[in-house]
Amino acid sequence: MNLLIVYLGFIISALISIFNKKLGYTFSAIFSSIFIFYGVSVGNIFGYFYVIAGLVWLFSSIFSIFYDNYGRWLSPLFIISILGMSVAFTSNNYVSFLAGWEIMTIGSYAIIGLNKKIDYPAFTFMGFGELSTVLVLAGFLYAYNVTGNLEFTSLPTALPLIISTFGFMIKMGIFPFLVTEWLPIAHGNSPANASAILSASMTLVAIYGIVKMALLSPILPIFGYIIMSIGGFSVFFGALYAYVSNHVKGLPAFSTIENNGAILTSIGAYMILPNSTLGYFALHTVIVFAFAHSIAKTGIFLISGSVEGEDLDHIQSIRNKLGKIGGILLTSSMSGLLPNIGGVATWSLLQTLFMEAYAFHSFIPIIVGSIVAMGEGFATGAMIKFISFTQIFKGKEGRNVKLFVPFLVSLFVLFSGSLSYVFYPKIFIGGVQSLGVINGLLIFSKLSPTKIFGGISPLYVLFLIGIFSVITLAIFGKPKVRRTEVWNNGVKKVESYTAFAFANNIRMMLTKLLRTKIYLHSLETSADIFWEFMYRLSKKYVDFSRSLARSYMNSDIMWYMIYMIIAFIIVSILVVIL
Amino acid sequence: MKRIIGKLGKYCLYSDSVIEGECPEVKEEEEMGRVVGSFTFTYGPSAGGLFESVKMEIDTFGEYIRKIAVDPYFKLREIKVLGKNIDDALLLIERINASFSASHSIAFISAIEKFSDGETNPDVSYLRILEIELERIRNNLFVIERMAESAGFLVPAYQLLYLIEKVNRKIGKIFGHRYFFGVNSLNEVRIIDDNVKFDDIEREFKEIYPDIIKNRIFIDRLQNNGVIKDERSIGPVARAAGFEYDARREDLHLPYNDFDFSIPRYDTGDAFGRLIVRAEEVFESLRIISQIKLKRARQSIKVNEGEGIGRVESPSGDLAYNVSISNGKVIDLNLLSPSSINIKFFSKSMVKNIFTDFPFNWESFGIWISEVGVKFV
Repeated sequence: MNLLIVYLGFIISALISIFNKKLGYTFSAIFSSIFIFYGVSVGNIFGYFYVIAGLVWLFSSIFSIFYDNYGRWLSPLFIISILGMSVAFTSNNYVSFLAGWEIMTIGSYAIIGLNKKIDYPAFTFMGFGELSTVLVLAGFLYAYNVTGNLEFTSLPTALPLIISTFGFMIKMGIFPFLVTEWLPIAHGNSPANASAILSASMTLVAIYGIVKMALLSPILPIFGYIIMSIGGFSVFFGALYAYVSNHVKGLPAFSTIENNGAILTSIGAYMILPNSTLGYFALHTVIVFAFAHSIAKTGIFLISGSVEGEDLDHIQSIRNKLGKIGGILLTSSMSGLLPNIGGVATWSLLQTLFMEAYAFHSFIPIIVGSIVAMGEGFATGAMIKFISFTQIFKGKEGRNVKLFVPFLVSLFVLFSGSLSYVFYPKIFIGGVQSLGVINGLLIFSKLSPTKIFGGISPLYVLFLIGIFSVITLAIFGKPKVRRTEVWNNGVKKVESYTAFAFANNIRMMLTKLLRTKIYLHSLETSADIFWEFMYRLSKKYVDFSRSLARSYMNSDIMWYMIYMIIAFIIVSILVVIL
Repeated sequence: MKRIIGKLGKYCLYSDSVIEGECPEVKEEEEMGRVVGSFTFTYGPSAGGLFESVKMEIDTFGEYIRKIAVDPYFKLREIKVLGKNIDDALLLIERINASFSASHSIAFISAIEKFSDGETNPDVSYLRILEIELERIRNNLFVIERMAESAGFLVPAYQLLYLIEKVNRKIGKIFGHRYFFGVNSLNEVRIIDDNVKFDDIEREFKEIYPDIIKNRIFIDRLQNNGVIKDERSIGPVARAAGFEYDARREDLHLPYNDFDFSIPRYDTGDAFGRLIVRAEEVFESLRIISQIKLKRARQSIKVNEGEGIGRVESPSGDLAYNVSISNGKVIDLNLLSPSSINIKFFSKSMVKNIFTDFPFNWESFGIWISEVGVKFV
């Protein structure tokens, strides 16, 4: 398939959307579908990334048809960002990758900048975005320097991988650069459709970049351990900040950091032992996790777009059965529950870490696994909070057309769990006849081609849940629900627990970590201590440079004369020496 | 040192005097309405863990408590006492709060004695002191038991309940009723048995008490919990914060100065301090009791028309009645109960506290809702 059709398609969609938003988004959805088909046809590991990204764009574009009331420029910029990503994904050389990378970054910057309430989120996004670009560019330049080739080819050294990985990690909002992810989305008041592609597919480009570079680089296990550890910390902090976040888009943005951390942990596991069965399994864990996160996160952002307002305690939402079912499935997938695809991904990640610990008797995967498990606990809490306050307990019952797309996404997330066999190569697929599991319906984790570590059958889980539910229904009939008034200590007044209060136990327990400041009438926490630290450091540097500049350029003619004399002497000495 | 105790009818009661009019107001921090993230959580009036029916509105961010408002009037009791003669009124007053029955009835009688004529008999007063001190021992043991029970610290809790039952039986043996019902009147204190000893109570409490305060898990729940150091606090709450407030030393109507005893104090002002003070008071009360000789006694009081204030040191602090008598009938009656004051300080001590510390702190104040939610009609 000629990719030019896809690129041109997105350009045409962007142009059409200036004049007719709905039509522009429709075209964008069509070309996203074409991109998915391209991904399927590629037939290698990168094809998975194209399919995942294409699905995110498809769902976001369909949702945008009902959602976009943000003026003229959101739709073209949204589609331009998608175009940039598609270019980066499908490039086979450093230059076009960077071109796509920049188109994506600038498009997203413009979305955040145009829909602003305040200036700094867009600048923060751009600042960190460009820092990321600089590092990626430096990595690519070094790669070009050692190979003399602009194409993505095998590298004799791991240095380009190391440099560019840090660049990609900044884009993913990885610890300690969590700010790249949450701030533009939360503070920048980024529209929900843009938040979805920022969180679900832009970070996917970065993951794709790391995987691509890792596949081309020599083995460097120590770097794998470093990446794994950074990933573990990102899981913990991302989930912790998601749990204490009260922002309807900030919470999922922090959750993205947590998921990116998990994906990075898998990449680290792959880097430790790339040419083995275990490494091969880890690589496919990356794919499954990326798929599970991107699709479910798209749905979650679309739910956050279906409510009015930003603070979970003050949002106005219209809820209905579709939203509830959709929300529960999406959040349960994000919490790593089977039979959703998220359950398969979490199982896959933990198996990878356990296997590495078992195979090497190494304590790092065990420690990282523990940190990840702690983070997953917070992540589940965060997801429960999100869905409780957006769909399940709050809001008014009613018709809400915006909830149809996240509902569709949730069904996709549920059934893709049972279709997850397609993500794993044949070596990891089998069956256990003695247990009645047909060949081809069991996913194995393996230490070596012959040594099985664990197994899972998502289709059977779905099937058994269905069967047992039907049997229960057949035996006991429809559940007999008795409705009664709430017994609230015997008083009529019924209060409602706030979203802020939901997470306050952790704010009180982790006072030092969250910088909780308790006042009589307010309770403040830092959303991100790393950002707080960076912000203070930059402020101090700005103050220092200002005072230095003022003392150095002080409008005193005598000092300027002295500078010139010193400069003249230094230049004269250099001329003599050289 | 003169201290304000609280409002008693149309008066403000001080430690050494009484002044008509309102008590000087303490400037409270300005009330804030609902703030971001907070909500009101109702606990009670009918919930597990509460000994009596009381409604509390907890303003919270979740876990952290901003403010707590205690409503003791949810089950307001109107007691028809006005127009009744003294003996009939006394029957109702001693039933307001059975746990503090002696303190209530003796404060009521003391108020009438103050404006009446006749000979008072010190032996009658000693028996009244005996009643109040026995009540203090029982109540303090009960407060400590409730604190231990809140922590699921059940071995000492059951040991204390056993000890409380022992005290109750001894009270019943001496006075004919374990809650002093029908024991007090203007002219006598009814005694059934004058041969009861209390040595075993002291011995057994001495075995339990050190174990309680040695348990790190338990005292961790009490230390720095509900710190209150306020000069307008009363009873064990004030004494746990280092204030030497005690009606037994200030109001000399009951001859406490005839006995050798000290006033236990602590300096932390927290729930732990209140526990220590109450436990030490048990030993001091036993010391007072050991100095009292049990014997039947009477006196002859001729009731005049007038108005008087009677004050005693109940187990939870100053308890006072303002009684007006005309034609042998009670025509006006006002109560200043220690619990009504302690509720205020409990609420104050809960600010910036957390949910899990709530039961320990609540129990440490020894509040009885039954003596607050009353109205005399």
